[in-house]
Amino acid sequence: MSKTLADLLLNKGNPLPSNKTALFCQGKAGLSYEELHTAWEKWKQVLLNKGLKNQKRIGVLTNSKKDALLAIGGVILSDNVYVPLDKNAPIERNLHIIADNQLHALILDKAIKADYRPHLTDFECIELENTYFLQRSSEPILEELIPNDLAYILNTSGSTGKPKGVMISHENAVSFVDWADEIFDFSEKDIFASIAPFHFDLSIFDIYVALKNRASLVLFEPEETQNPRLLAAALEKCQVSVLYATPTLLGALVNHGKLQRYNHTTLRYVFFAGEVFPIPPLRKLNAQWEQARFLNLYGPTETNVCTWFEIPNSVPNDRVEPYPIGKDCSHVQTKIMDNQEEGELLVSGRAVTPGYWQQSAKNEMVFWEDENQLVWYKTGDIVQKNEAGDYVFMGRRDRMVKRRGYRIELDEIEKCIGQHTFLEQVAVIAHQKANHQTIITCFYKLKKGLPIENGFSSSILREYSLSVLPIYMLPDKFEVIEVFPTTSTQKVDYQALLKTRTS
Amino acid sequence: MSINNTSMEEQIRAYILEEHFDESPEELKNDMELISSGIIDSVSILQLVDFLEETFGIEFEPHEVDHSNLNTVNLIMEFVQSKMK
Repeated sequence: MSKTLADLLLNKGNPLPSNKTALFCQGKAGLSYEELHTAWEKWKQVLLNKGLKNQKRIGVLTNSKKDALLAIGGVILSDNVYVPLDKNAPIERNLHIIADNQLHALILDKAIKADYRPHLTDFECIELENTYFLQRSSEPILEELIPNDLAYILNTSGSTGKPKGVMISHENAVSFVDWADEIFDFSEKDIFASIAPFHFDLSIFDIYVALKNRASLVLFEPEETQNPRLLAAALEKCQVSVLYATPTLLGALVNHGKLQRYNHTTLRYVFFAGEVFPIPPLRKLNAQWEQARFLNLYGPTETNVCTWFEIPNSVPNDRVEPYPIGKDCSHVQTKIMDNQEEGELLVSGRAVTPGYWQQSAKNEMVFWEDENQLVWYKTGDIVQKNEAGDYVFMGRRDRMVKRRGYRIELDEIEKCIGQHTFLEQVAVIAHQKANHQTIITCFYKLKKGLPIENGFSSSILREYSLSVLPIYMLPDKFEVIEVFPTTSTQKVDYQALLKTRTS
Repeated sequence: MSINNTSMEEQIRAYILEEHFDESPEELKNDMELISSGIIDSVSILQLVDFLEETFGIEFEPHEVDHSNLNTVNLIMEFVQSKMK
C-alpha cells in the first residue's frame, strides 16, 4: 500500500519528541507533540465510534485553525476525507458545498453551529467539549463512482456559478510533500508559519511538511495575516524560519509592515504562489530579508505545486518582467499543448487530481489522454518556455482570474449577482493595473418599470453581492450601463467592456 | 498640531471618495460601514492607514490597525482625534 498523509503525521518508527511545541497559536495556549497526537486520537475514536470510517467525507468549519487542525488529524488518521470550509464565506455558499459534496458529518465550533444548525435539519447534533459534531441521518446517494484513496476535497470557484470540489488523493498530497521535503533542507529546528486558511491549498505544505519534520507550526488566523504590522511583529516573536504566502500578503508586509523595525533573520525560506509577484515589492522584500531563499511555486489546486523557480539573491534594478514559474518538480511531468512554443500548460503524474467531485462532464473537458495513454491535466494557463528552459506565465485561456492569490471565475460572480431580481443583465470583467493589481468591475442593467428604480444603488448591489459571494470575489466597482455592447453573435462583448476600463 | 473637525472630516471623506467610492458624495454617509461592506478591501485599509498617518501626523500601533478604528468615517475621526490629543 502506498504512503498516506496519516503515515506523514504519525512518522512511524520515530518516537514523539518530548516537551516540544508542535503548534503555536496566537494569544492561546500551544500544543506539544504529545498533546497534538492525543487530540487527533480522540477525534479518530469519536469518528470510528460513530461508524465513520473508509472514506467518509467530514466537513471542518471552525473559527480557530487550532480546532480545525485537531479535527483534520482525526479525520486523516481514521481514513476519512476532510473538507475544509471557509468560515468567512456566505452561509449559502457553504451550505451548497455541504450538500454538493454530500458530507457525512460536520465538525463545527459553538459560534458557527449557532448560525448553521437551523439549516442542517437532516443532521443529528452532539456536543463534544467546545465543538459540535453533526452527523447526517441518511446515507448519501452518489451518481458517479469515486476514488477510494481520497485525503481531502478543496472547493474552488466554478464557472457554472457554484463552487466545484477538487478531489485530492493521498498519493497526490504525499507526492508533493515528499518533493518539497526532499528538495529543501527542513529540519525539526524549523518554525513554519501557517498563514493560509485550510481551504486554500498552500496549507498542505504548511501542515504536512512541518509536522512530518517534527518542526513547529505557528497558526495565524486571517485577522492576523491581514494586518501586516501585527504579522511582522509575530514573525519576529515566533522566530519563524519558513514562510509560504501569496504575493499580495508579502507585498502588504513589505509595503506596510514596517519591517525595518523587526529582526527577521531567523527566516530561511520564503515561498510564494497563487499569483504573479510584481517585481518592485519582490525586490524590496528580497533585499530586506537578504539571508532567506525566495522561491516561486506554481500549480493549480488540481495538481498542487508542479513547477518551481528560485529567485536570485538580488533582483537587478533594471528588471521589470515578473520571474518565470520555472521547471518541473520531480514528481510530475509537464509540457505545452501540441508542443507549441506558446500554449496551454499540461501536467501529468502522481500529483494530478483524480477529478472534480461528481462532475464527469467537467472532468472530460479538463483531462486529455495522449497516444501513450498518459493522462494530462489542462491547466488553462498559457505559458512560453524561455532560453533557460523555464516556463513563463503569459495569461489565461478562459475567464478565470487571480486576485490576492484566490482563483476566481468571473462567470461565478456574474451568475451569483445576476440572481438579483431587479437586474436584467450583468457582465463582470477584470483588468490589471500597471502594478499587476487585478480590478474586477461589475456592469449591470436594471429591469424596466421597477417601483424602486430611483432608490437602487451600487451600494445595495454590493451588499447583496456580499450575501452570495465570498469577500475575495466581491467586484471593486459596480457600474450601471444602459445598453450592453454585443458581438456579432449577440453575446456580451467583454472586449468592448474591457476597453472602457483600460483606455 | 491642531486641526478642526470640519477640516478633518473633509480630508478623510475626500480621500475615500477619491480612492474607493464610485457613487455621488452624498451617498457616502459618515456611519456607513466601509470595510465589512467591502467598499474598502483588506489591502486598501493599509493605504488608508498610511494616508491618515501622513496627513494627521499620528502613528497606529500594530493592534490599532483594526476594523474597530477604521470601519466608518465617524470611527476614523474618533480614532484620529484620540491619537492627536
